[in-house]
Amino acid sequence: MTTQTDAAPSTPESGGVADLYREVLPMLDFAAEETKIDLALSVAPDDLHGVIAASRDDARLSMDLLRNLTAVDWQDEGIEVVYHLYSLRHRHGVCIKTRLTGEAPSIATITDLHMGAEWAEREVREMFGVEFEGHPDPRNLLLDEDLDIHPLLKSHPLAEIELPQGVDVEYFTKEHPPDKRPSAQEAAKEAAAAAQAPAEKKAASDLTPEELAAKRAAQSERVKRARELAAARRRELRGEG
Amino acid sequence: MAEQVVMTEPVAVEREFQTVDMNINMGPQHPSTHGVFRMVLTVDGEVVKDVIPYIGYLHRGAEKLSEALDYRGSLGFQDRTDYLAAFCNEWVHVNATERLAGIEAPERAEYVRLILSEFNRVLSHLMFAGAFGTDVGFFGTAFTWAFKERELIQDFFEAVTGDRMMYNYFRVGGLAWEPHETFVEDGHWLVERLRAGVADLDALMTRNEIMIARCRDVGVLSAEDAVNHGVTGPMLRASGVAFDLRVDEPYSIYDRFEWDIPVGDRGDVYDRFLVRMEEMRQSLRIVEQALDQMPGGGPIVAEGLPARLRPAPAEIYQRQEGPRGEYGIYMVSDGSDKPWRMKVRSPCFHNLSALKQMTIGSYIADAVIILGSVDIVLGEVDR
Repeated sequence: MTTQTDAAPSTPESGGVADLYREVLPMLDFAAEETKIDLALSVAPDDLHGVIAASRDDARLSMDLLRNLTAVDWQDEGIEVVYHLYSLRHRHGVCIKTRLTGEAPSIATITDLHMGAEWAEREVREMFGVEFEGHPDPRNLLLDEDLDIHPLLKSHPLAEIELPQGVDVEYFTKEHPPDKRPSAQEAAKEAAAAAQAPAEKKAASDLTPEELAAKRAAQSERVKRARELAAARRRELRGEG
Repeated sequence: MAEQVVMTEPVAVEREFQTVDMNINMGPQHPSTHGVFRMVLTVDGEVVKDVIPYIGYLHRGAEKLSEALDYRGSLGFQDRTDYLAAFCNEWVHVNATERLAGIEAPERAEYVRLILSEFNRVLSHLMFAGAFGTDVGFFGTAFTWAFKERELIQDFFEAVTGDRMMYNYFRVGGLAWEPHETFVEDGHWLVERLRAGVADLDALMTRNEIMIARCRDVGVLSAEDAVNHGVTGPMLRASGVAFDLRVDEPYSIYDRFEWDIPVGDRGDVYDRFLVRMEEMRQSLRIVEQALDQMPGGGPIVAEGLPARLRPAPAEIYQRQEGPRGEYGIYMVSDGSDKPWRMKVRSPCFHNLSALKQMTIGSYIADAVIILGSVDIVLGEVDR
């Protein structure tokens, strides 16, 4: 083991990084914007994989460390996927962003370039519903494996999903895509309606219709009961009788 | 006449030895997983052929919760991500918020923050050394010796903040209150005491034959692979890359001190241990200089702080060197009093993702040591 004395710190020149990108990728169309520390380049989703590859492989950029990969939900303006890269050789960094719009946001994976992106992409996928095309193992990472919710979307309620165990998982799964997810009141109504008319639309594998209806009715009963209890408790806490 | 027994040469039977791969589940409740971490090992005899890690058992949704609280309110979550390096994480949070809002903390507050964070690094590495000793087979001695010293640091923290683990002491713009009167004297005493404690641990563990036999050339991670996996901190330095944010992207007042960056040359488990042991000594060096330089009086909170912080729309990725690597907070403000997005980049999350690479091909008993050498805190991996 050796010890190295600290080298003179190089000052980051973010303006220089933008010029480098213009030099390396002259055809690339990007918008540069200063953030508090790094320079942020906004690129088109189709260009992203190429930009990350060039950032890593070009000797002038040599951005070999993917230090952060995340996303931001801008609601109607789409989901922004954010990559923070750093070059250990030149000691400069950059932030690359791309905006995904539309019903089913998807983007090419960069796991072929940075192995460290594998878990980060899985996390973004489960938290924001962004599909990474070509990802080798697109399972949930932090959440339960068959839970199909995207909690970090702004449309996802913060605390309203706290239902009795065994109810919430089924309710929040595939039949409600994130943008069409009803509010708690609508959900209660819908659950009640489902109890009235035995719903057939749900392909619950090997249950007979009667069993299914009974199950759903029992479930919605439990949901309703839990909601009533919670509402009563809230009223009690507020002192409304 | 008795039958004659004819001794013949034994016939060697050529036979292929059939083996079946076996799946072994380790965790989530397992003493050597350092928390709630589960991995499924596919083994062929004693050799690990595949690893599937499962995380998320400690996921508490801190990022979502932070979006619902104001900038100061979510500070408490930082104590609970990496609970062994709470000061380091709090520091990243307050620094990110300060830079977003354009606030500057007074010099004295910066010194106190730095001293506490460096002590916290020593605390975390002591915890690593103790737990790692148990992994390797010291059965308690290393653990209790390390914890004895760790207790002293916690006593010091308790004297400053009133708490032993969840400090919540840093504030946007400064500190919650003055540190106690004998802060500097206690700090000097503690540095001396810890030097002796680290030397004791060093004498017990570093040159131990069993330790070397079990750790040398186990779980090797090359520099290229480490960088490609996003590994940072002592693990990356053990692989031979001298990358330390305190030097490479200097923040706060780190440019005022003299110290060295320990770097390994083989990238194996033993190097990771050595790097962390040396980092403790270097941290104590920094603390000693900081205690000497620290101004004796002056404000600890910036003046004229707004009651409610409403930073102009902007974004920041603030990163600092925690005991496990680059701890970053990506904060996006939209002009309101709550962050629009707050992402925690946890070093262990990325360090742990290299586990598969390190473990495949090693013996199953070494898998425990390799996992121990990552020094995971699951609260930070899962957030």
